[in-house]
Amino acid sequence: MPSRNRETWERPPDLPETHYVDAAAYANPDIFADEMSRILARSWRFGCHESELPDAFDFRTIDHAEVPLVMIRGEDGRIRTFYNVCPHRGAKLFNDLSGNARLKTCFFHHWTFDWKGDCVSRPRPKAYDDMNLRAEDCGLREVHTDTLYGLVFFNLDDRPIPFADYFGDALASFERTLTEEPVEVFHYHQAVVQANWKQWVESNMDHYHEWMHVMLRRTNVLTEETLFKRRVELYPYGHIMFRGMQIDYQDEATVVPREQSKALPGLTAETFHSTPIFPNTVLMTRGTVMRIDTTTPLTPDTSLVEFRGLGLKNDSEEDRIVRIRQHNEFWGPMSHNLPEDLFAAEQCAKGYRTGGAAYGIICREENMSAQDDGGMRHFYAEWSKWMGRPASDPRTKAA
Amino acid sequence: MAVGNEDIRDFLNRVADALDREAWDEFLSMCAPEFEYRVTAYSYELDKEMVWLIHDMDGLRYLFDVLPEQLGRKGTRMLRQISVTDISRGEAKGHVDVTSKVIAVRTSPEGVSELFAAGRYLDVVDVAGGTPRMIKRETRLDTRELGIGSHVPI
Ligand code: FES
Ligand SMILES: [Fe+2]
Repeated sequence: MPSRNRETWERPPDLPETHYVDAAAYANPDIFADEMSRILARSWRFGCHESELPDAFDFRTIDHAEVPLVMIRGEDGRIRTFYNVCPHRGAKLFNDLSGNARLKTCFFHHWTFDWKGDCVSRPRPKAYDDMNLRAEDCGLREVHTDTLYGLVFFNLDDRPIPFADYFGDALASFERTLTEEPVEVFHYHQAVVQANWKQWVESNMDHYHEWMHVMLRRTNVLTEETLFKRRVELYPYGHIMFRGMQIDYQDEATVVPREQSKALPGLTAETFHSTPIFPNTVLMTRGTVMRIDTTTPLTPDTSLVEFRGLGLKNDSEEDRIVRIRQHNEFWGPMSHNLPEDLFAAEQCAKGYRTGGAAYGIICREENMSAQDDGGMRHFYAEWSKWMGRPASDPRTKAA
Repeated sequence: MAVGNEDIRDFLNRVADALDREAWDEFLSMCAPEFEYRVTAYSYELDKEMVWLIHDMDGLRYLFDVLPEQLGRKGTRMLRQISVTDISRGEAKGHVDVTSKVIAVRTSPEGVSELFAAGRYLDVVDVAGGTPRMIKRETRLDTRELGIGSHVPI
């Protein structure tokens, strides 16, 4: 096979335009700005799991969306999201990462707000009254918030796509796992990754890369049976479900064994499910544990990824430690797999950022089995819709 | 011969040095068969204690065995700077509890060094036999943003 010169390297691949992605989609700052306003500012995005806000008046800040946000559980049990910004002079209102506050008083000039976002007091208000600036006009900016199976999502758009339409049945396979018994988040860490946000999202849609992982080479993931029994299912709004993978954890003496009795509801200890939710969240289960990744674009080539690990709230201390070990061996910051996946995303970013790479090829068609690129094509078809231009030629002026 | 505080400091420096040099067998030879290694951190997001890694000797042996095959760049190095802040009698006879501050610096193959993590080692060292041996190590991290992470114990 001949190597290529500039012309043949940069010429679009001889494939349907749905089957490749132009480098500019990963590296071009104008396209990035459009992604923020057309996709991230309009889609339903994962904020946290409701177990992170167990009691009334609990709050949890989200510092890396485009604007600082805070989620608060109200006295009525509902979780609401607000800009974490004081309407007076713009100070960040909640400065701790989490906590509990019946009323929140801004540290600066002591304006005070309740859990509905209403401004309930301003010191020495007469000077405002004289100017007709009423307390009713000094409330917090609220952001649409809704909950599905305990997963709390926010949407920065004032007129968002209806929540139920957006998710449809895409998360139905997780219903039992997330609701039959109380679950809680036991692991959280974040990583600033030197890669475009989609390069991290892709790592969870591209199952063709499995050979990269030493632990997957050493276990049974890549037998004919596991390859072709796994399916990629596509849902409206760009959501994807990978289903049907059974992992034999007995293969390796040193992999933490998984007991059937410790499987999460609706799963066997061997079940691997993975659901990338458009645009930036992935839910995954490995039988006894669950992981949620959320990717927030920071710049065209840096992204903040949050990793959560979930187990059963009523775990005994002993069971919890087992679950933590099972989580950590593949998914922790010092695990076998996660640093490899992050490494891969960063190395891809290097190829695109420098202008070295011209196109990403996503053309594998294998009957929508595990290593079919159909999941990624589905994501980019949705991306193209929201962006008003094809991912294969994203410099085309947006519609 | 009794093991003094100076010997314990010296021992922990040699443990750190063995890890820095990736002399895994040498490191394991300084650990008792019941050695337990943990990495822990506190999440202010969740308001919870977290455990990020737990290994016994078998787990560590397996980790070191897989290491050459784990994806990464040849020439990446980690250097652990420790300073012992407290040595006190341990719970079991012949054991001492040692607290050290630790700074781990990662250097890329290009030679660029950056702070990887800051935290403490909470160690239990067996000094009964004359030669110190590690019984337990908890690497308690202040740093929770580890970039792409690490396959190598800190
Ligand atoms: S900025 Fe918050 S009260 Fe002034
Ligand atoms: Fe992977």
